[in-house]
Amino acid sequence: MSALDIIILIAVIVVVGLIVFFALFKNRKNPCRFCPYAQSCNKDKRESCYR
Amino acid sequence: MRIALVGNQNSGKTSLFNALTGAHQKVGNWPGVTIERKEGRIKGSKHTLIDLPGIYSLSPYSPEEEVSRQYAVEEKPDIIINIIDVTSLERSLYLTTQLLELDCKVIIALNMSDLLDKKGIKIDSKALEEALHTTVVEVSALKGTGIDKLIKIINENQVLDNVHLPIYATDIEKSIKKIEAELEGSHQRFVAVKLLERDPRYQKSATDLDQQLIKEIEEKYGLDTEEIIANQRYDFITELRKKVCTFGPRKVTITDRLDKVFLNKFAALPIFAAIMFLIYFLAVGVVGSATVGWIEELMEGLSEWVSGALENGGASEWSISLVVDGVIAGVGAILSFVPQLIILFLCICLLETTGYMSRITFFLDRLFRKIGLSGKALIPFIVGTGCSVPGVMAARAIENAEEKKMTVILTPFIPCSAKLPIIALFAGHFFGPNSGIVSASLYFFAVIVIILLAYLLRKFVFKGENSSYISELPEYKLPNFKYLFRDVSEKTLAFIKRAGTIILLCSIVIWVLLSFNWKFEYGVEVADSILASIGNALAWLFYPMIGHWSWEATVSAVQGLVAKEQVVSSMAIIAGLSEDVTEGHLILAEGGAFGYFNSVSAYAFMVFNLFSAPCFGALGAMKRELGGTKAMLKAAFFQTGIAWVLAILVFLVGSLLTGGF
Repeated sequence: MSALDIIILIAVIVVVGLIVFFALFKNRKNPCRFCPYAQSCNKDKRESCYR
Repeated sequence: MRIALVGNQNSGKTSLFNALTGAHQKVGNWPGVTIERKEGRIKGSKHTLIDLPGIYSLSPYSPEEEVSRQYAVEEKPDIIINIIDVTSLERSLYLTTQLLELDCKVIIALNMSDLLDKKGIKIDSKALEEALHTTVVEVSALKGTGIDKLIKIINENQVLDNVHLPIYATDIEKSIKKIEAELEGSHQRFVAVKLLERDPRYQKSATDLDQQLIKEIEEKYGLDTEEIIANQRYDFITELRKKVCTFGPRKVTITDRLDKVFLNKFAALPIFAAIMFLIYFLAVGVVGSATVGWIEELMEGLSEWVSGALENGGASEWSISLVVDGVIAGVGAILSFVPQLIILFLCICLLETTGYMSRITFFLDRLFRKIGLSGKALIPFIVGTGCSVPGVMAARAIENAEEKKMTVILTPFIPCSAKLPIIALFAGHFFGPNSGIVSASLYFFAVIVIILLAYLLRKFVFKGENSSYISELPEYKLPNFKYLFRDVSEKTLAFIKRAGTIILLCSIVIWVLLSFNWKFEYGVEVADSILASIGNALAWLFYPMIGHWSWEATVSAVQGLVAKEQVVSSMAIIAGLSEDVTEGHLILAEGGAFGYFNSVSAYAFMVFNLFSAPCFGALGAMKRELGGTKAMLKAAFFQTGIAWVLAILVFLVGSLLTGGF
């Protein structure tokens, strides 16, 4: 395994880890995490949204 | 200070909210865009502004109207900005008369005053201010005029005190005063009127005196008190309107002329069909055929360059394959559809902002009521053309529980932007110059299936009364290009973000599952890979709809559960690994992993992906709106079952017609 292979492997693991973390764990309790418009949303809207 | 923005539906509340706060909330030239309250800070101040869903009175009939009533009455904002559409002053002032009964300062923002000239109407805002004893400001939320003046009035607290203007006949005013004297707490005049009206929300605190007063009034007028109060409000408004408005000859507006065409009994439906066809023709046909070629070349060039660079850097075969066949092929396959999606988003946004969507909801409402769906269901369907998640969420505005459930189940059938890559891929490859017609046909196929299923569900599953739907037709407006650009770019970026996150993740997982066998040995034939064995176990399900035992198509379709775009991404990776590395983008090339597809099986496969259970995001929204996991799973199985049956039917009928058997 060359140095470049190791770099690619680490990069892939980091990217996968970050995506999994942010998708499944970081916002696990955020009901809007799949909503494409969540970025322009706010706390107050979310509270009334998922009452 | 907390300032609430209250007004009728489609009076421009969200546009004014955006103008006052500098926010970019979604606006639309059709009623019901706002279904929850939104909060922002007024530019250059610390005041909080709350945008509430549109209401016609403080006696709400739907859940989103209740959100507004609750906030305005129970949470006691410091100031209420009552936004009034001046082109329908009489109706708007009904709510104003109720707001003026609250213990709260009210600013009246006369919106859309720029449209008055066209209608031959003049409003004396000074006279209105004097007559109502409250601050009146002329604004145009769309053009941004009057906004600075409104902010100045708020910042300098120049709002006139609410004097609780007496608007009813003397005897009713006396009764109100008597009830008020008995009450404690805030909004005494408002509560007194509500008690007289027999509003069910206030009946708990009704006393014998109230009943006595109601009886006396009803005997005198021969009507129930709710009706008497409403009539007297309208009498007051009619008098007020005479004082503050002058009417010139009504000009025939562009809206009148356009409505003669777009709402014509015979022409409306063909025009709608033609518009939808044009949208898909432009997105998939014209733009698709123009851009797919050069994007494929770009991706091929990128793959070759990266492959060469990694090889020169000493990378192994597996790491080159992971980057080129996994990441670039998977993500690149999705990104190549961005130009088509931009056109789709642009066209849908144009229909929303110009006011055409309202006409469609108005026209189709009659048909929808016949099949057991409220006209309100059209809003989720329209929103669902962008993404099923907000589409399903928009169903919340439907107050009838049965209708809401039906709408939630049927909304994901509308082709969303994530399904466009699947449609564009197959339609572009198999139907060439007719790809636009084929893509549009899927849209209409979905509409027909929704109508049929709604009828059947209403008849056999969700029995009950139909609810009524009252809507209004806004003026046609030229789109605001700033908003158009923002909306399209926001949706496009959301799509690209998905490609860079969830699709990237899935691409890597798929590459691993394709490159290894169960003994975790690398470099095996794809037919011996982990993914192939999973696909082979389920391929029998897909055999009847594509006429071929294909683990490749099976695993790709199943991945649509994660994200619909992933179907195309997965196909690109499988095709790439099955063939020469640099030809990975040629998904449907003859002799390749998906070379067995023909026009009939391609259409059947598109139908399956169109109707099968939506992505996890939409399933999550369905779970919330249906009220639990069990109901959501039932709905998902129902959708997938329908998709499976329809795809098989399409394949069988198509094969019979084309002589495939």
